[in-house]
Amino acid sequence: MANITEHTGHETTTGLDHRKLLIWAFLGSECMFFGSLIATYLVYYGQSVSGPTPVQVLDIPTTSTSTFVLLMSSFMMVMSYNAISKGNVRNFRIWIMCTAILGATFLGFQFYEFREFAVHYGLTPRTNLFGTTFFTTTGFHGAHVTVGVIWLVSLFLYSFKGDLTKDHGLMVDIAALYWHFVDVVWIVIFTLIYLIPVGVSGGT
Amino acid sequence: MADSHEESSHPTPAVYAKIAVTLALITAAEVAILYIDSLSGLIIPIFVVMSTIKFAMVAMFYMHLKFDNKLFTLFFVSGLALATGVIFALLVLFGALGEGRYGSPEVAIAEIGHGSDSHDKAHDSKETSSKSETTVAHDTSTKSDASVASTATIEIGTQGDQLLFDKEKMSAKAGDQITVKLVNSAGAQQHNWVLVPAGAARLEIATLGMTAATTGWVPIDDRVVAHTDLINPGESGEISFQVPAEGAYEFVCTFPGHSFTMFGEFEITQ
Repeated sequence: MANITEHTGHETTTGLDHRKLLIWAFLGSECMFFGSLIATYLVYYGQSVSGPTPVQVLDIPTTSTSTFVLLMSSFMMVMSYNAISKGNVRNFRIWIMCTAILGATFLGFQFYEFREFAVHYGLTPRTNLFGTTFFTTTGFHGAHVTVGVIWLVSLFLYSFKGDLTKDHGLMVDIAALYWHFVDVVWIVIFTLIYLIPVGVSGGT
Repeated sequence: MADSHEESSHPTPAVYAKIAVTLALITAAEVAILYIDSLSGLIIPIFVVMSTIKFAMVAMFYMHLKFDNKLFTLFFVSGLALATGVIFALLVLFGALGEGRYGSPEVAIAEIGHGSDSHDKAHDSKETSSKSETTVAHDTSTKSDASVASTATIEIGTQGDQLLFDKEKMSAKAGDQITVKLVNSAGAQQHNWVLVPAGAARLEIATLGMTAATTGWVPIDDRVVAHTDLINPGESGEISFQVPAEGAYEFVCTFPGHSFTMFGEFEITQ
């Protein structure tokens, strides 16, 4: 990290780059954001006065696949950061494009899921408390993934300007931290919203 | 600026790959656990531990908190701890950690389920609690005279202001003319007693009833076999009707919101 700080020329009292501290402060606040959404979902869990219920609509095999896709995108992301920090721009481009493609695949799964809920089960945010809290929580996560995909593609395109070198690893690092954060949020959502309700009720 | 060793101590691609494989395996194991019935009682702790491991691996290695300045960890963990605290505080405040909620959603969920599967589950859990069961006594002498219908009165009450009937099961003989008397012992709640086909129909009729304020919350629906008027607190009301010849029936209070707890089996004996 030290060489990055030197090259960007910021003198800070902590010796840490402000931008990196900022992304961590931001991610800390994002924990609060998703925490409140998840808390709301849990508080209203089982309180819907009419169906459909989570166990009726949740499709574990499909969501497990999309979870796997997102986890693997995190691996691609870390490989892309590894490539740029070694100055290998070509590999960086390959890995970051793979990350973006997997992210977009995850969004495709989510689009399919939302559509399935709406068309086959008549579950929309207006249907019941489950619908409202489910779509709000997973929708905001999906929005974060969307922002992430745009960010990754921007970095990919930026690399063709020739300015993205080994010394600019921090730019990739910050995007990577955001991307991994979106991944860990999904780990929590997948467990609390998908696995536990279905598991407890023996819904499989 | 003295952290130049950090860069070199970052994990190698091989380590990243091993973590990716581990993450995938844990996710696969989570899904597999869903299909193992014997683990159902432990499912919450198991899933919490597994997802915590995944979370920690990504944060420590992919987000390299393990190798970075501890100030970053402090920023992130502070937010994470606050968020976790907020979740628990809200769950406690809204009583969502109590019995019949997240802990055992079969009570909360199965009762509003459409499927017959979840319906049966609701009854299984109900059957375990010991409650009174009323069977209509029949006078054999009335049976011999076909022109005189056998009549009997079954009384059913409410458990004070709890949204519960005092019986979970009633039974009557097929084809009999009976009277059901609802004694509303509640101090504040209005209730009714509605006989409907068992299962999905009960939920559907109760849902339709939510907009049927003008008819005492009982919807105009062919499936409703019989119903009392809406009974005010401390009052009682009766309804006489002929017991259906066969089929699975349930009784329910269709006052909005009551149907999730106020219902029971209406058994038809031959």
